[in-house]
Amino acid sequence: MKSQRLAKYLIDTSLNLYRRTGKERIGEVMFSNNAVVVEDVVKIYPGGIRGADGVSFTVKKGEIYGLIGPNGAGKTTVLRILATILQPTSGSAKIFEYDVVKQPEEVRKIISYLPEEAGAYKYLSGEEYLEFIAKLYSSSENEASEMKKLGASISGLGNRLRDKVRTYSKGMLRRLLVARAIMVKPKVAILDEPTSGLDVVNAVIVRDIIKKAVREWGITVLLSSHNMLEVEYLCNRIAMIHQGKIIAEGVPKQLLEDHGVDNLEELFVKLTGERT
Amino acid sequence: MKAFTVFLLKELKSIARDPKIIIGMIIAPIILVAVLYGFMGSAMRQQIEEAVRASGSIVLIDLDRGNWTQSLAKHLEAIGLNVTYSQRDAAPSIDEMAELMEESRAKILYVIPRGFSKNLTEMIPGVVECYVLMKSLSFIEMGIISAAESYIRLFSESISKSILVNIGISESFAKNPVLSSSRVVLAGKVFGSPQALLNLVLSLSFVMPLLAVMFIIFISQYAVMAMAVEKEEKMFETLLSLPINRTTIIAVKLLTSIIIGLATMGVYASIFIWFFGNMVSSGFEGSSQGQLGISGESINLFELVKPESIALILIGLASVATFVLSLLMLVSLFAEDVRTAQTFTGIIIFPVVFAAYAAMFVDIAVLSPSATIAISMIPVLNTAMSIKFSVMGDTFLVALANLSNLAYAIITIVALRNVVSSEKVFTAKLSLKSPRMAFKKYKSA
Repeated sequence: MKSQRLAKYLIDTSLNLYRRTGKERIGEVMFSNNAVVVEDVVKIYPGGIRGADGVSFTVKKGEIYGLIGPNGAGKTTVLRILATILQPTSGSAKIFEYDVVKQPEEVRKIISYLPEEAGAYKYLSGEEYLEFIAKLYSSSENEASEMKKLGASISGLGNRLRDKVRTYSKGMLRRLLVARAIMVKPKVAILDEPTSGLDVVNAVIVRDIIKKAVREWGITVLLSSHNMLEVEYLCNRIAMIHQGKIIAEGVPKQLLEDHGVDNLEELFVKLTGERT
Repeated sequence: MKAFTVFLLKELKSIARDPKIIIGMIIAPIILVAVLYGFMGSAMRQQIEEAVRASGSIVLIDLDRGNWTQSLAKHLEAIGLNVTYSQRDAAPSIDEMAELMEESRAKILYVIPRGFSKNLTEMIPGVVECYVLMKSLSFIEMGIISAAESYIRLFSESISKSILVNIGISESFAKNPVLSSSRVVLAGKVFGSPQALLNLVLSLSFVMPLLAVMFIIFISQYAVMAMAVEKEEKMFETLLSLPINRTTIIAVKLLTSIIIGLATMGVYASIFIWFFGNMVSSGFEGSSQGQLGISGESINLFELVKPESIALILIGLASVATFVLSLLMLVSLFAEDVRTAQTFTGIIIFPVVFAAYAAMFVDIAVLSPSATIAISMIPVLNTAMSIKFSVMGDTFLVALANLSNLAYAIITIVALRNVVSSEKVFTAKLSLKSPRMAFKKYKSA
């Protein structure tokens, strides 16, 4: 009986996946190791400016993947497309097989997005803010309560969580926001410049939170940063983005060896110098 | 439903703690009404008291020196007036009259010309010259003019009564040998009191647009900044990525605006009822209501308009409010900050106020059927006109007004939903620097 039920479950799941993806490669989909698949994404803004110009990359389940590049390179555009805020002009982007354009509601259920310049409701306390987010992601009061507890613990803000958000320093606010992004245990956390503008201590705390999220809860993290040293320390794999195009992709150490440079900053200068 | 409740509770909590909204909704109305009560209320009360006192004192200049003038003076004293009597050979100048009234603290001065008594004795009407000293041109002083005339009319009536008694004719018959009994036919119904009917229709014609405008202004207060607040708190981008349906976000924002609008309206209405209740009860104490022309005759609203028509009018009001709210929400979606959102509100609110009050000047009797149908399809104007349509018994026009308002509301809500579901909600911006819609270039990374 058990084996029959298992077989039925597998068939139903396969059929659902087939209907959802429209692909015939059911086995490939079911056992795929990919969390995020971006294929030839182009984003042209009104006025003809290209935010992304044929971007393709894949993020594997449970890894920290970094998009690096200077300001204006197109990192935020790609992350916003994945967070279902912007729509690509062409190309496709999928998160756990959900198409970000065709199935945005499904995508929003499994991601957690932290914009670079995010805030929180200033007249709520940190605790109330975490509770608000937890209730949106959970299906029961207990689950929400557990999420909130986890968020409080991740943020490390202690009693200050009872204070209104408007009284928080920039570092405290960022810790609260990273905590709210991680506490819901999303399948993919999309973090845009998570340590931007933070002092050394807060930046280290945030990096530790990200590492812990992957290690303990198996969350896949896709982050962007213009701090290439930070990315070298944090990410399993990276993609270097310049003028809307990916100019290099791979494991940081391997990239450094392949190009004979000491760090990613040198690599970036070398690659962009070669191109200009 | 769960996301709706969670988001609604968050909205109400944030609003309840936002000093800008608390000041706008509760503190400002209380201060405003306190100032009104303190200055306008006490000034009006003083005026009323002064008018009652001043109209109780009279200066009588006697150039006639006859018996009938003496009778008039006695009559005035008998009805409780304080009479300053002065016999003269020639009429005083205007300056002298003003001085005499100032000295006696009176606002009414009668001059009895020579030959007044002689005329009355010979059954020729006598003329009393009435002067009223006006200083503030307030509506209270207007009452003193009618008081000055009514004192003389009472004396005149008492003379008529004596004459009629002497010749044995009934006073009531002599006064009104022929009476009229007026009826008004309106929309197939007969009303026995034309004046009361006119008063009711006129007050409804004023109250209905006022109600519509007040409701729309109050609900628009929050609607217009509902989304701009999210942007100002840097939550907009996060909100768009949360697992909450975007239509739910709009629905919550609309409902919150209605709750805040009704609450604000409630606060204002309570304070004003208290204010006018106090002012009327204290200001008019001791004055004769009959003298002020208040008639007890009235017509019930339900005699004029069917209950189902009132329900239809209220539905129309709700539809037009939803339509205006959705328009404001669209502006709010594109506004970069609260200040821009509030500035652009005027563009929507001004035509709303204009349309609401245009209804007072539209005479549906002289309009062609097509023009009447066109008017019944103009939002806000049609809501304000609905009461007239209902009184005239034109259910078709009321229904058409409602249907068109409902259609406008649905169209704007669908437009709102489409905008919210697309990336335009994030990319299109309205800013004060450039009133045209400009697209911000997102190339920050």
